[in-house]
Amino acid sequence: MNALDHQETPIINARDVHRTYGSVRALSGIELEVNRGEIVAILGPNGAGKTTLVEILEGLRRRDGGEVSVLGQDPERAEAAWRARIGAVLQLGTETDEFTVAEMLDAHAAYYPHPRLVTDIVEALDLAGLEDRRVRRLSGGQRRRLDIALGIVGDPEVLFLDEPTTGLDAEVRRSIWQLIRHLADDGTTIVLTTHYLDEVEHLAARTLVLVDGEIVWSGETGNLRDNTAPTAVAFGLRPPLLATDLPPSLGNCAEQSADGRVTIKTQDSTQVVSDLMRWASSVEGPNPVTNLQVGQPSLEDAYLALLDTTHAKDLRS
Amino acid sequence: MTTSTHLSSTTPVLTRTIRLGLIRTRLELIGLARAKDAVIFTLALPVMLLILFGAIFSDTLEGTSVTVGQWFTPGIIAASVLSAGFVNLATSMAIERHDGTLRRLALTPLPAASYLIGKILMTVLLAAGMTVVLLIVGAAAFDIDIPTSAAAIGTFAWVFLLGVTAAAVLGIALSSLPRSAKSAAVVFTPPFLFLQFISGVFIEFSSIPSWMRAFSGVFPLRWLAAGMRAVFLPDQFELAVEPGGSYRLGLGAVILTVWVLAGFAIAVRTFNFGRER
Repeated sequence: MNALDHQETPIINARDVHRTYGSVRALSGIELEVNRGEIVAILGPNGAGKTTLVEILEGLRRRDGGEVSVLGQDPERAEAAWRARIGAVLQLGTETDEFTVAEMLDAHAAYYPHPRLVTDIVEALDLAGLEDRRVRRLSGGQRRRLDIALGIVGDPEVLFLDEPTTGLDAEVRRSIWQLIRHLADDGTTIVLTTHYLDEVEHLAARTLVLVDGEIVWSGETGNLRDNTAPTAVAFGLRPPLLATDLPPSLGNCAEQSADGRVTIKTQDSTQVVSDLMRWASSVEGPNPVTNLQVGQPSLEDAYLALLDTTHAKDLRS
Repeated sequence: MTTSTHLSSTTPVLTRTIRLGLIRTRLELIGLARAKDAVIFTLALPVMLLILFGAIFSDTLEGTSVTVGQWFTPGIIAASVLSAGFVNLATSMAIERHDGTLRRLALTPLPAASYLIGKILMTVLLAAGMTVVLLIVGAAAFDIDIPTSAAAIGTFAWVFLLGVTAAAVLGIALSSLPRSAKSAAVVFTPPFLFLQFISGVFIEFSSIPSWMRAFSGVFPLRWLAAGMRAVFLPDQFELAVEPGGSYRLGLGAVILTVWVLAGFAIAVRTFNFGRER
């Protein structure tokens, strides 16, 4: 193997992964490649198979078919030495309630052959001063930071993050996102499962959308928005004009809200704006179009549009 | 504990497994000590039974000078040792299968054997604590003789250690039965009661039907109870009351040893924190 090959060997490589529970198909034909230092998001509604996929990558679950390699090994057959190189951020349950922050961190550090210093972790996650506090007495944000501390105390090369900022306020979320980006910058490969699209947008260069156990979309996160979602062209109309006064090419897909503002959702905003301007110049008097805005579609719109398309396909088939 | 306790990758596997087992034991004991209500009730139940039995039945067992309180003390010690493994350990492991503890550990390089060592040592220490409390009550209320001869102390040592370890591996084996954390607390009580009735804890062993006695011999509690009677009751009791005039401790030692060895071997081979394999 030459140096170039080595560099390009993905840290996570899954090919045609299948899994069924009884007669229920949980995963089908999953392909996933993640390179060193990359953050890849797995997005999908509840029951889409996200947990099953991550558990297969973590070596907790078997697959029925396909090939999986994580850090060059098949997780199904991996041993302790392999687990020393992965980390997972799980949500703390009640099982840890009666232990202190330091007790949890010290014990977890001891399980690993080359742990990070607990004092460094405490510092990095802003847990200083809380070492002797019981987990039960931590706030939601502090608990989440301890979750992350436990996930990275073993200094993993691959980190699985499950809903890392659920239930946290905006400020705490930002600080956790920053920390996750730092980890990736330092070369940690990260698989993120989440429901939050803003989280995906902030963290993941690449996204994989899972619906009913199949990948319905994968690619660069920014393209999810471009490829699937319509752009909104919004404007006001000088009274007494109404949306119904627009020419058919615009009026047919226009919606007018209670405040009079008109929104046209389109895949081709340039065409809509040019049609609108041609119509505006044909109307006598001052420009009838006020406060024109061409909005970037939100990732949420894009994601929902994608789920709608998938659902519609299912209904047709 | 400081971060300096971590083990480097060059530490031999056995040393590492044992040291991590001790770290797990410490964590188990911390968890146990902080569940104060559970510990108090675990201790209070056998103490209450002992005091009730001894107070209600004040006569002696036929053909001996042994009072019911004296007779019941070794039996309830044996039952408490069993419950430390059978009820306490099995319940705690069953809960950990469902509350995320095992899932968390399954993702770490912690050896399964270290986790099991932690569970077993916690059980041994809990059982020792219960035994001490019950002996204090037995000595104070029912004039139980605490033996001082080397032979009796030796018998106590092997009966206790083999018995508690057998109880622990039995608990590990049974911990996968409850289907939820909620049901874990109630699943183990009926079989525990059943074993106490057929093993001579609540009912004098010689008055149990012989087929039931034979069946009880498969399980650890009968031998634990017989061994404790051998330690804490006068020799005349064995001859006058026990079936065949003997506790048959040699056979008991063999059966307990088989439980311990087979149980630990099976546990280490099959227990893998719930990973699908």
